[in-house]
Amino acid sequence: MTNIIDTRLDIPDLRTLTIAAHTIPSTLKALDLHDFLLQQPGIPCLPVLDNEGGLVGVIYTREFLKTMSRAFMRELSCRLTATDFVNRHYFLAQVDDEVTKVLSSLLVHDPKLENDSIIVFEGNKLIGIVTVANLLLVISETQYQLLDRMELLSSRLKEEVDISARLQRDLMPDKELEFKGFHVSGLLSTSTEVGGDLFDYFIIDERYLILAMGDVSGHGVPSGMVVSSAKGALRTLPDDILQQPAKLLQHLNYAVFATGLMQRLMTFFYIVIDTKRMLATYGNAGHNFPYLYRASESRWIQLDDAAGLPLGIDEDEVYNQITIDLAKGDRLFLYTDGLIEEMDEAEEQFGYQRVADNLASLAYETPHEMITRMLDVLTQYANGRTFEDDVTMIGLHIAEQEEQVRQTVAVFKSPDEQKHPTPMERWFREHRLELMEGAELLDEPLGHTLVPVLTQGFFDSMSGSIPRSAWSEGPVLWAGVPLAGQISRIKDATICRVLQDGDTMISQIGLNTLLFGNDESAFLDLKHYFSNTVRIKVTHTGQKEEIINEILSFASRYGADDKRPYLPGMLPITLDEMLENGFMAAPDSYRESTGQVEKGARRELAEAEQVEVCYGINDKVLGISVTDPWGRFTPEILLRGFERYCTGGEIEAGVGGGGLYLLWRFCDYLHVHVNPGRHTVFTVFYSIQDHIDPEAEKSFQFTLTRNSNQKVNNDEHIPV
Amino acid sequence: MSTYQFKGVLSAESQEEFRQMIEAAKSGSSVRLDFSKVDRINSMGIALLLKALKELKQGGKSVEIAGANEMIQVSFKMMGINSWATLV
Repeated sequence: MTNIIDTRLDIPDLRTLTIAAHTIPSTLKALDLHDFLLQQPGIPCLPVLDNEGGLVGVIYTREFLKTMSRAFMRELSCRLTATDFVNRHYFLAQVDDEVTKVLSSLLVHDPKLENDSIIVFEGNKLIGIVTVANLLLVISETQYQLLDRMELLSSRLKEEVDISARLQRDLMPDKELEFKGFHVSGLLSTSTEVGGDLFDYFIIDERYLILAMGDVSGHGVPSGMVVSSAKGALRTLPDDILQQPAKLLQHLNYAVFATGLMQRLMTFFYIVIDTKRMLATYGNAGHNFPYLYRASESRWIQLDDAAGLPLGIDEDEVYNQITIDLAKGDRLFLYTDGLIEEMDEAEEQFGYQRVADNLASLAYETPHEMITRMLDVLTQYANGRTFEDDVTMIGLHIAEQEEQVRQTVAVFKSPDEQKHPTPMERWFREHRLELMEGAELLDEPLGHTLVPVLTQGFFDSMSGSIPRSAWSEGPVLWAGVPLAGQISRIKDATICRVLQDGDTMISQIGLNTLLFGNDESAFLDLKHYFSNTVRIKVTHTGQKEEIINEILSFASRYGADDKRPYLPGMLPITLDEMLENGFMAAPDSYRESTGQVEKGARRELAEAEQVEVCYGINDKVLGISVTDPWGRFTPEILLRGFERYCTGGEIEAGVGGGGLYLLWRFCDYLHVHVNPGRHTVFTVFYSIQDHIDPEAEKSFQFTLTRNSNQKVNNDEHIPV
Repeated sequence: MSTYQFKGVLSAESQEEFRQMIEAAKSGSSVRLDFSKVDRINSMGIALLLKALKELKQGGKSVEIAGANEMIQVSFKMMGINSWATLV
């Protein structure tokens, strides 16, 4: 007798899942409908029929009750009928459709699974409804049966797995979320196989912000199915459970236990933020501890006090939840173990230390920037290889509401550029910068969050003068041509922030940082920028060589000299010039009074003129700053120096600017910040990622700490 | 041709060396400045060098700079030293 293997699949259709539906006439008064639904809880939706029995649409209970709960809704709706509330974006299926097919088409129709039920027809007759939660559950069971026949059905299985991979991606939020100063951004980078990662964020009750992240592991049942069942549960559970992480985890635990059939488990982190009271409550089912940035302490900590078994192991597991205060400026970083466990070529894991190091330098970026840059770092670490595991991250930032937090760029364009957004503007938008027309600038208060940017086209066509009041920190020129060709015009217009279009250093340092700074008093403070900053107090001019060697070996410890050609040659030149600037920064009167007039002489620095060197490194850039305590440097000195040497002027002892010019030419980015009378900070950055042409045009900026007591003279004009 | 060798870092502290070099160059009509042992030159060093080169040129001497490392050569190019001496 021959064994016949049955290769047919028992994929169920909708029949067993279909429950009879209450239908209502379209003429039913809204208030009666409201009362009915309140009396009959548990009805997910009501098909609405016209007087000939045709389907007009569907009333989804949750949606309807939510609308009715708005203020004065009862009063406003006393004349309304079911027709006025009907949702016509319903999804319908035939009762003999296979569940998997139904889910696939449902996801095309309603990718976020916003509506929780499906209308079921037999032929052209409405016979009932199926809840999405039940649909997902049955599919999970089917998938299990499917797997059981793996050898026979491998090709078919592959197809199903592909569906669930697609499905998983479709289930993730696709947009960033902004709510009352809370900014959230998430990303999921799927690996070779079907991902088992899940993340979600949403608002309930116009008040609670929910972030959730999970990671399925184990074997047997496809992980994508466990993901979709968890996600389904997350989207269909009532609000009172969604507000309580401990309860939520318990419910999810049941769902995963049922779907995963003990072959799959899922780590899960869940946090509810009460945006009104600024409280966060979280629970953790075996998931990697997220990081919280405390703005008040300027540091990241791990939320390691809530813990429990992963979901799907023990049906009776009880989870705890912890509540903490949040403050403006705080941040959250959620991730899956794919981030930690990704390996480099030497099979060394990325690890927690690298995550912590990178977070420290990302504490001033937007959530989007925070997670995408972390992914960049990881991609580089894996050296372009496909990730072994899914990598999922969520970043959250609570904006300071006292300030106008949106970082805005006022763009000045030439008449020719008016019609279309320039590539620069598109790039700015990708960095979540708000853009406004330069012409509107005069009515806006300038602050740390508004920076005027001139296109090269605007600068070329500029005539007359621009009110000085607009430039309390000076406009940025987004330069499209080299400095040599326009330095005199730049100097005459006192434009001292010049970023070169296409300069890759801008994104390596961070566009937002370069436009808006990361520190009130120093604009670009390396202490806040790197997590491994070293500071040296210089008390004697003879320490110069020692410091240069120190920084060279620091850079070499991080492999920077291998990655960046010319670094060991360029760095001593720039450091030499920066230190000499610092040594000579005191006013002549001070140096005369202490008998130190000679330039470059070896001498002890007086207490009052001590210089500080600061340096740090991350995977993209090496930064070095030298601070002197005088704050006497002016943009004119810088621009005059550049003008002289860019136009072929010769160096002459006693005529300044030559050192500044060398400094600019031998670094990848130059920044001078002056807090008048307090300090001058020279900062240079080197790329340790790109092979930057040593002769290329470098961006530079001069910025000033604004004195809020200083009145702006509206009549002062820049001559152009 | 006389040869004068510079060493280490040339900076504002190198005034004496430049003075000695000019002294040594007095005898002949041309002078070779050996930079092969120079690690670095900063802007003040370049300014002193240029001052010395101008002085030599006024005295009718031709000057060659030999063995300068890549960074020093780039600095010279940037600072216009090339028109006052031949780099070899």
